[in-house]
Amino acid sequence: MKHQIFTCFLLLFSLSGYAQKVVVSGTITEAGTGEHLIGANIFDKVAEKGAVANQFGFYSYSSSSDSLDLYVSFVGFQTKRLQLNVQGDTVINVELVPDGNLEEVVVSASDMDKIQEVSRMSSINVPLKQIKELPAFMGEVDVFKVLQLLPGVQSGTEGGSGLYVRGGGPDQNLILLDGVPVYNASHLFGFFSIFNADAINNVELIKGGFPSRYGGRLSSVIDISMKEGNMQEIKGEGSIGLIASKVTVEGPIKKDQTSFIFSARRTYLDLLARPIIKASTQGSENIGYYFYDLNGKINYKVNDKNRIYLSVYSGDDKAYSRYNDYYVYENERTDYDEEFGLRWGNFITALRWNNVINNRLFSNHTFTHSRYKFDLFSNYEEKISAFGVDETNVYSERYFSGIRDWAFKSDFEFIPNPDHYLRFGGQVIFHKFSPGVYASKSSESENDLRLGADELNSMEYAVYVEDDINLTPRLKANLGLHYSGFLTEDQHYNSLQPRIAARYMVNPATSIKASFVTMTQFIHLLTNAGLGLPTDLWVPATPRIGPQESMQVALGGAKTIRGFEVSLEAYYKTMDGLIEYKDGATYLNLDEDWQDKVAVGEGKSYGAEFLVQRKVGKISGWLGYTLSNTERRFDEINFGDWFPYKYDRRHDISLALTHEWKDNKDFSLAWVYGTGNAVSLPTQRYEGMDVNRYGGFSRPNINYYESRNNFRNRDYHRLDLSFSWWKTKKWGERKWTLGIYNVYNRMNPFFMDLGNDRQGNRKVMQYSLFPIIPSFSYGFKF
Amino acid sequence: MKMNKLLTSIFSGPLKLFGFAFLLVACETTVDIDIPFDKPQITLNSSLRHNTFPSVRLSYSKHILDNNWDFVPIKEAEVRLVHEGEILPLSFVEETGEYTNLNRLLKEGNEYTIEVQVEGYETVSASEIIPRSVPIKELIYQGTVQVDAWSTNDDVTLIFDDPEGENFYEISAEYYRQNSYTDENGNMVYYEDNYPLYLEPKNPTYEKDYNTDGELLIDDKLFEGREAVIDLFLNGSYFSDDMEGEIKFTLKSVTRNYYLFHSTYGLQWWNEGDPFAQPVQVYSNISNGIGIVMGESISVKRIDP
Repeated sequence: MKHQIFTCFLLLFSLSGYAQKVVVSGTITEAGTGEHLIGANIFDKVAEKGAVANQFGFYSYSSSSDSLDLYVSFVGFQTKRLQLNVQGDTVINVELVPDGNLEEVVVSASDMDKIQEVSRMSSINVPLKQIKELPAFMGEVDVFKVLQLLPGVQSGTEGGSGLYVRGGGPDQNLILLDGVPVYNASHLFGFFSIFNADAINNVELIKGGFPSRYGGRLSSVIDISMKEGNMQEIKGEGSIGLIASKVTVEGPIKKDQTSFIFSARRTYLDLLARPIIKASTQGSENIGYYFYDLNGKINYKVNDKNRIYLSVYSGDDKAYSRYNDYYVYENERTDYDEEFGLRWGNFITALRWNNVINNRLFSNHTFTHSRYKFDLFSNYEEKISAFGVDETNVYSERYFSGIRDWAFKSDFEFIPNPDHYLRFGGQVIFHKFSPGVYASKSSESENDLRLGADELNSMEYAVYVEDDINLTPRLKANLGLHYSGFLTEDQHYNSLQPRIAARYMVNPATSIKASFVTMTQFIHLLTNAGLGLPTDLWVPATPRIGPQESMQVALGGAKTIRGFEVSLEAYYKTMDGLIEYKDGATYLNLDEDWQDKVAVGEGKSYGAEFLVQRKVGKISGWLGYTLSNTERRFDEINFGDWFPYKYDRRHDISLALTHEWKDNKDFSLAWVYGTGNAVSLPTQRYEGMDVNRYGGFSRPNINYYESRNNFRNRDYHRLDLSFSWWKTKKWGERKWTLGIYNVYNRMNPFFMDLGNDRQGNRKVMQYSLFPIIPSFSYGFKF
Repeated sequence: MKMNKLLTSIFSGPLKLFGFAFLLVACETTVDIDIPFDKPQITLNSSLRHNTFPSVRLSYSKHILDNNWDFVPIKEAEVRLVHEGEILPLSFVEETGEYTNLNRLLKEGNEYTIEVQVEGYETVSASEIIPRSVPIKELIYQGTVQVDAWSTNDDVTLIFDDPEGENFYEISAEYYRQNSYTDENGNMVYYEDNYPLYLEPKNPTYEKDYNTDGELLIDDKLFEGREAVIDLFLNGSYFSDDMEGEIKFTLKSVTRNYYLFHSTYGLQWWNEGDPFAQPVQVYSNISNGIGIVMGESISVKRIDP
């Protein structure tokens, strides 16, 4: 089978002729900043063919004619026309000028970027401008919260930034920041994502039909590219909000050769609350919480063919409590200082080398390091003073877990002619897992204590090849293979994953699409509440717990109608090797091996997604609707029967609109509606057999659950509004943004439990998290 | 156990911050949710013990939002105990609220089926085999260990032979003492101390968070068909010279139904009120009803300190 697929590839590739006369290649960048325009289009009106700029702005277009009429276009930028007569292979670097008003530029020839043209399906690119303009929770722009508004993506719990894509879990998203996997992408117990929108250049979400270059997760790819830094001049922007402030500075280190960008964000509730807490505790106690992010990147253009990038992300959350006091007993004074808290965070670095080997072949080599750590700590120090003699005792306890990756990846892109776009490459990742270690240290004890799972080392590798092929003028396909393997504890897992996506043009405005993909994931996330808590543990596949695998087929259509991109997709997905805590299991019990605490099972999800999107114009945004069903089955849970997944939503509607009201004012809204999450509620209570509790026997009341997740929370809906106005000043531009979260104060359920009302009657109690919340922020740009 | 307690206490501190923030903004409302409830189910509970009379408790289940917490026994049911085709009727005893028959002692190794007829319901039934008792082979006092500056624990080893096949056990211990003193009137007053002892296994595999009363409920995976050596700490020092009385160890040989009921109920009880815990369905082996019919046999060994 493997040989047949490989032979097919060779055959298809050999059919691509080399009867091309000239090759035009180069980069497409933003005028004034030098920022690469990822996904910008080159369209040759003469040949009715074109090319697309890759993640580094590089394009290559081959033509059988030396006479070219090229249109270079990108959403939000003015289209540029280049009429050329070239004698041979030519390098043309194109700069596009932003179209400030985002007015729709109608260029009939530049059809290459139309949704119906591309072979890939289940992929959505949200313009960053829209991400920044949509209403933000507490004024804090969050990429993930915008992605949650797209069809096929569920948000999980109220206010959370988790992503549940097409019935998948939060661990099944491959979140890439400049190509580096991010393991825990949330701040503040899951309410904010770690990505600072000011430092981001591009965001792409892929829910299915995955190209072969991606692998290692089952449900989605969220590919986030950081800005590269302005090559021309120093620029900056920032904002001061209710809970956090941020600033971004970028500019040339050496004009047109080396640039930098640096961005920082920090919350300051702890700083504001510190004086109040200190005053109320006479200076003895100090509690607080904060998070921060730092993004940095240096972009060095060695020459026209070589570039080097170094990008760094560092972010931490820390919650802490410190208390100090003293007491005196029999002429002995003891001063003590105790501190406890938790911190967690990511540190990510990527060193990349872009090399234009020739005008048809482009390569990118990346070395990355990624570290996620969670640390729970408690320190106690006492100083005992008596009769001029001091004695100090120190006790400390820690529980820590984490994952550390080192990876090397090489990607190649070969564009022999406009009918083929070949990508191939490979990567190797060394994982070091620390799945929960408890350590205790005492100045009085000779032996330190260390308990819990040992570090686990494993290696993951992958190779891939894919080709985007124009089979006929109407039929285009993306065919690929992804082979990956995993070595852990003398166990070797490997998997060959075929990927196929195709589109057929029914007419110039309409296409139908289909895709089939298989995916394998070699790591698991142990999560209790599905809240994205930092206590979630990443663990590898082991000889006992194998990898996760999925298969997804999708069928759909796409059409562009008067600037509106319309798509309708149906999908069916199966998942195997899923893990879930058994009934009542808790992560706190370190005595038990995590492998004994989980059940292994399967899942399935199917549904239909509808999206109408308008990316440009005075009014832009989208309307999405998802109809879906997601279920899970585990032998040891729910007596082996299928049950609804916690985040199964039968109906999900989202409306996101931005309106450029006047030249210096815009208005936006987001409305979401979703069927309530599935929850487990007992339906009956019955008398149990005698049990011994606290020294006496009694017949307990037992709650009777008919099945797991047998009820639905109330439906979820919410409206958010935002209004911004800005003014140009001598030094730059300032912008005020007023926002209202949950405008009509809908009490959406966070969780439900049983309790009593004021009259003592048994009732179902609903706990809601966020009522109406106004916010404001002050932004500036220079 | 100690480590888990530490971990829980450490974690509870910072999590309070989150909880505090949650309380600041969270709102609690009562919601009317239609929870279907066609009619109550018959609840059948019985523990079949070797060398005891059969007893069966019957009651109706209630809607989960029913304000009445008390369960009234069903008195008008027809209850039968079936063993090898022989049918033994059980009658209701007002004092205990249970059905019983004092003419028959249950025996280990026998399979019994309980059948219940209540008007308007299909026959409710369950079967169980009473396991054979497993004698305690040896109890060894290993000494006393200092836990901290103030307290000590007794170190005891309990040994028994695990029969072939899948087996489950519950181990418990009690302290018993008879004593007397002379009151202010010169009368001699006799009294008894009798209380359960908390057992802490050295092997953490046997620990269960919900085990608040110190018995150990274990399976035989670690000593399948071999000699079982269970090392235990008694929570306290009972072997010192000033302690009188005796320590009684009970090795209860229990069935799989017993084990599953107690472990799932223990988890449900332990996780009550924790919104983030996974819900626990309590194990039931009753056809056309709910509850549990389970079997047990005990063996006892005493130590005089």
